[in-house]
Amino acid sequence: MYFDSFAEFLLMGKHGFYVWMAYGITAAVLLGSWLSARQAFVNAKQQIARQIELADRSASVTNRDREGFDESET
Amino acid sequence: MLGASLKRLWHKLGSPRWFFSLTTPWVTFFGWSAAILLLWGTIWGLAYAPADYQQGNSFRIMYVHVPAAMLAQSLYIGMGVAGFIGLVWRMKLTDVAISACLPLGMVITALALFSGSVWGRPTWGSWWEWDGRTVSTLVLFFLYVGIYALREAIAEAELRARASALIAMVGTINIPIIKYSVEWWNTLHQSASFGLTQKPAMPSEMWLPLLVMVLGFYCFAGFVVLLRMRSEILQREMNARWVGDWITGRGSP
Amino acid sequence: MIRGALVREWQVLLRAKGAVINPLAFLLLTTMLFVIAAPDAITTDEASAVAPGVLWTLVLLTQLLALDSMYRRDFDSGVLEQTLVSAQVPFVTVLIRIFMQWLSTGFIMACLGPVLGVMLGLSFQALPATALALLLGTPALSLLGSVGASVTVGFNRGGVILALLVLPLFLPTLVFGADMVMAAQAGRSVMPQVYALSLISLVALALAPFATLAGLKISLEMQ
Repeated sequence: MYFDSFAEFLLMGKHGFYVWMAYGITAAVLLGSWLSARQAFVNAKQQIARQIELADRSASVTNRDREGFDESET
Repeated sequence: MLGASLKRLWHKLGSPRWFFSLTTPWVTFFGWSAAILLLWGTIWGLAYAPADYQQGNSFRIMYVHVPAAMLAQSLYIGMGVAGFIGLVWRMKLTDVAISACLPLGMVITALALFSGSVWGRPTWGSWWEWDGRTVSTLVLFFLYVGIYALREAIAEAELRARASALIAMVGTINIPIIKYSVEWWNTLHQSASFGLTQKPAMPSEMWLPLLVMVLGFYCFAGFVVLLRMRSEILQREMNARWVGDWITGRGSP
Repeated sequence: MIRGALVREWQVLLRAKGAVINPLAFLLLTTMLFVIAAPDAITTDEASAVAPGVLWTLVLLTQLLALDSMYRRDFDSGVLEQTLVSAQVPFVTVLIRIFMQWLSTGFIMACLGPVLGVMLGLSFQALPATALALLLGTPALSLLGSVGASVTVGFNRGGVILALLVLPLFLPTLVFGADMVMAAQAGRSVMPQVYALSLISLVALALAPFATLAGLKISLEMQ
């Protein structure tokens, strides 16, 4: 460890403000980029899942209609 | 024979489905590698690397600034290469790549500018100096914004792809020209330049953490770009059967 | 074929005099604005330090203005599509168009430049170098600008995007062009900048027509 104490580590020899600001913004940027990309992926999956569900539902409704028609016949 | 199999590989690369299945493990690999490398590099650079004799502890900002600057340029060149491949071989996947690199590239370039400014203030006394490196990075940011604005302005997908590819290529060719001309300009009008030109040989305790951080940043970029590309592929191939199978768990691409 | 195209372009130019005069009026006006706004920067006994940079920046902005109309009229009227389709060698057609654009804007700016430079406080010893710098640099501006113009010709408010795309391309010419004038003012040799400007213009000559053609094809399909 280069620093003698944690307090010194935080202070960074009076450059602490700048160093931590730089690292903090970097962390925020990287985190934000990751979350934004992940959200895009999740959204895509959700959108497709919804579309599939809609398609399934409309297909099953068509089947039910057909069955109802047959029953009323007999 | 090698030529034939290379050709087959090249054609497969144009298939979104194949790309999607290929990159499934890669995303996990890059994601974890990035996390580990970035954590390791940050702790090493912040706490264990020795302070610079002249700059003191502010030089530790280098461990985020330099990787960001390198990545900023690499991502744009990546877009340019993708654009070239897309225009010559008409691969749709290249536009997916460009759209994935764009947001990250813009943000990373801004980060490079910001971190450079924060580094400059305690070290050389000013938040901003117009020298070769700052101007080049600023121009790079505008190159990114240009492609962004272009994509926003074109509604049709195929034309947007081709226009972005063209401008990305032109911009990529421009990057070294700008670098050279701004360096020239700088040697004549050097004010309080950032003195990185008078870099003494860095001891390994100083540049090894940098290497780790650079690798970490690039792995992170790989992770995010692949993730975005996969999202984009899902969107574009929404109606394909393999997508439906993959989403509902019936099968893998 | 070339002579025919040149004659046609010349006739178009004569008919659309506004496209030529407006940018030059802009250049004159903005020079005047600068002289009025910052008289102290200019009226010093030694040569003005800002004149080279200001002159070149105004030249760049004027070129930007002129680029907007480079393909637009023909694009809107359908003539552009016809010309490219019927041309035997589209590359030459584009090249001639760019050449005429340069002749009507860049070349005239190269002639007027020294006069405007004097207004901005340029020392007399720098005038020949100024003219030469503009002569060598403005072809690059027309060529590279044409690439941006070709891609944005179909946009409704393409002016800003055009500027965004094209100014980074102009930057090297600006750097060496302004520096050449500054060098002449300071008595330094201008040969390095002459080489640099010529090189940039030549590289632009080699690459820009192809890129312009590609851009025009994209824009035409967008209609």
